[in-house]
Amino acid sequence: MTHGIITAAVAMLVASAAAAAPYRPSDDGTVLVTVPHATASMQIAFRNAQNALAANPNDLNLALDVARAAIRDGRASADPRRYGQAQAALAPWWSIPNAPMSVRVLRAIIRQNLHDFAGAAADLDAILGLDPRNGQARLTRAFVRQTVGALADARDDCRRLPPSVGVMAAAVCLLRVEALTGSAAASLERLDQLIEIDAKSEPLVRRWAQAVAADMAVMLGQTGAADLHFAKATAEGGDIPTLVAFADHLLDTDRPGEVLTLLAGRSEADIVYLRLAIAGKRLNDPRAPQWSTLLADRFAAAKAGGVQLHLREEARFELEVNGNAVTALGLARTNWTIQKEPSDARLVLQAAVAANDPAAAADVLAFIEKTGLVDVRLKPLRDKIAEKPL
Amino acid sequence: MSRLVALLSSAAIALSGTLFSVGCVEAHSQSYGFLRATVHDNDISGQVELAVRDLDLAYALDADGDGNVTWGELRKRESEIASLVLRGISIGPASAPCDLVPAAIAIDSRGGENYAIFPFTGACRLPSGQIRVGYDLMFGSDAQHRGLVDLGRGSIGRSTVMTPETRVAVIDPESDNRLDVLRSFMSHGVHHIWAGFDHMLFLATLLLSAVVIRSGNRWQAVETFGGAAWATTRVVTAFTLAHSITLSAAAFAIVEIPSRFVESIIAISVAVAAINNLFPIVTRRVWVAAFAFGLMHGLGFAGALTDLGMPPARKLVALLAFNAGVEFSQLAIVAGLLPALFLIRRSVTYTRVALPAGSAIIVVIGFLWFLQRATGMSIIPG
Repeated sequence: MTHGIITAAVAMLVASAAAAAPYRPSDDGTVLVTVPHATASMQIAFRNAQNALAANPNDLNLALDVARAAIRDGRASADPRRYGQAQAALAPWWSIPNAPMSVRVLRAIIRQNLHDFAGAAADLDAILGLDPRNGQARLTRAFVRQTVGALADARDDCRRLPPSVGVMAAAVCLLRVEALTGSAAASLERLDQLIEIDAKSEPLVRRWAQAVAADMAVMLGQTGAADLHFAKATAEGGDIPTLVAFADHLLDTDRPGEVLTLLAGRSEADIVYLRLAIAGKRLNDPRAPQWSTLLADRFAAAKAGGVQLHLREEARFELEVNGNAVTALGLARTNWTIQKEPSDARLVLQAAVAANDPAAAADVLAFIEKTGLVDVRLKPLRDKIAEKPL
Repeated sequence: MSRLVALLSSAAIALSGTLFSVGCVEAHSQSYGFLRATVHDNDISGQVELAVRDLDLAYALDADGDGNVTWGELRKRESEIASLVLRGISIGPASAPCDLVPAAIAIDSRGGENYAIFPFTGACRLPSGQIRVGYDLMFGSDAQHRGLVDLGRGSIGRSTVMTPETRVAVIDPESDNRLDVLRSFMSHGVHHIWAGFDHMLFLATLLLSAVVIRSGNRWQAVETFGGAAWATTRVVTAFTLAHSITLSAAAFAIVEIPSRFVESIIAISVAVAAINNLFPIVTRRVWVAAFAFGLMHGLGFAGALTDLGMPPARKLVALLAFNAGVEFSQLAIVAGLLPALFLIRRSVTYTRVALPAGSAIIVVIGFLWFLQRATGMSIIPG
């Protein structure tokens, strides 16, 4: 069966490749791709570290430097390749179960970003078993647990964060768990107060707090407040995941035109193209077919490569761009077995409604019931499902 | 949102004290490379495809460091990079792999990214059977890189995925997955008939009038089972022949007709066949009508078949198997229905009630299907 999927995916890629024949550009100046400026001091430092590591791949400190730089950039740009590069830098230690603590923390973060949540949790459990005061590991685990829907465990981690992580990070951690368990209004109010009086957090942490506040406002249906928080979170350009969250909010509030302004030409990331394809389709933008063909090609390649990093995006693509509710429902349900954030829940409910298959939403409804999640975007979907006989 | 929160949470703390940041980079998709090769009788040919972005990571293409990798920068190092890339590929026995000779590179787009295409040829004979393929590109700098390999001999081929853990695969392009294709597509064909009421209903409608014959202005029972069977055989054969023709033509993309149109006509065919039972116009040559509408049903089957995605190297097997599955289901319906209808054909209830009422219901269903398919409204399932 896997073979069939690969064959079909490769066939699709070949077919799409056939549309445009390979060519040799006539102009030497044709830009094929934009990459980090090699002259920028940071890029020089990164390249130097990378070259030094290539010469001496077993130098742990060099490997950690390269991996950290790659992860940091992966975060800002939503570029999954960066995590692969970080993993490659750590290759000599990657498969050693009892790797050095510094490696295990980064390995957990890389695994988390490659959606290997169980692998990430295993590393973090081991680190915290030996060093319960490791704030970085505990904070990361708190968010891994939020992602997989283990909210009581996540709350426990947030409460036990050591002072070293900072007041703001600890507060964001706990308030987000509260928001996911039915107390979004109180959490947002508290977070707003904290941001107001906060003076010493780093800009990155402040922007993060603003983005989490925006997310809470979205859950509450407070469009104006969400707009304001997103504007602050993206004030200095913003990183790609925050811009994408902003774009989702704009799509939810029927402002597809603003999505194009916000994202067009900003990045080539899959998560960006998905929003462009959805907004473009709603606006009948002439670029929309190009965006969706490109996404279809990438999903086909991911499928052929056995990568499950894009399930959420692919489900949404099938639902909102291709209008293929049944396929979307299958993907959304598989994604739900991996991630259990409000947007994952919503995707299953949307697909179940569209596919006229209310029974498929049972797990998600039970989860919402159990956790007490309140999100204005889920309410109408739950009502629709309740109307339909099972 | 989870990705945002997760990424930020880890990064905010973990990396705020990092020595350097990489700066603003255009983000992308995961990294994939492609190796496609075809083994001929006396030589092999193929190409490696790698993202220009990945080539820059591995071979530092951006010579002037301005952040733009240009065609000129790649072209000037063309032969050097082509031989480095081909060094990462091996086809043939480990002891004596094919000597791969690079040809002029080109640029093409894959998933919105510019890829460099490295064509190659190799003057070596590979005996039929298993072929060893090695792919070792990019893994050193990107542990999530995946190499998608497609190896063919003649018109058949196999695909596999290379990872840092699996850099060598032994592939037999001719190894028989033909049987797998056969099995799976036959069951798809069977499933399509049982899941799609329309084809079944069309057939049943034709059968309703196969056990009776129009004489004067009323239906008379057919005397012998042989007579009924013969009438049925003609109808079913005509239907089968017609839909096989269009199914094949459409599967090989000789004809292409919008599916909404095809599906609407199929719905109409159900209604028309049922109307013909109520107000017989075509009585003698029902098989002609079966043939005409069969052409459309074939296009419908083709739609289902293409949706399944036929393996390119096994299109013919897939087509034949799918069609066989369709015929098998069809015969099962005939075998089940015909004797039953034959037994009750003489009863007044059959000619006066069952035939007209059943046909009337089918007319309504057919028209509702038509409305639904032509307009995209959701009225009834099917």
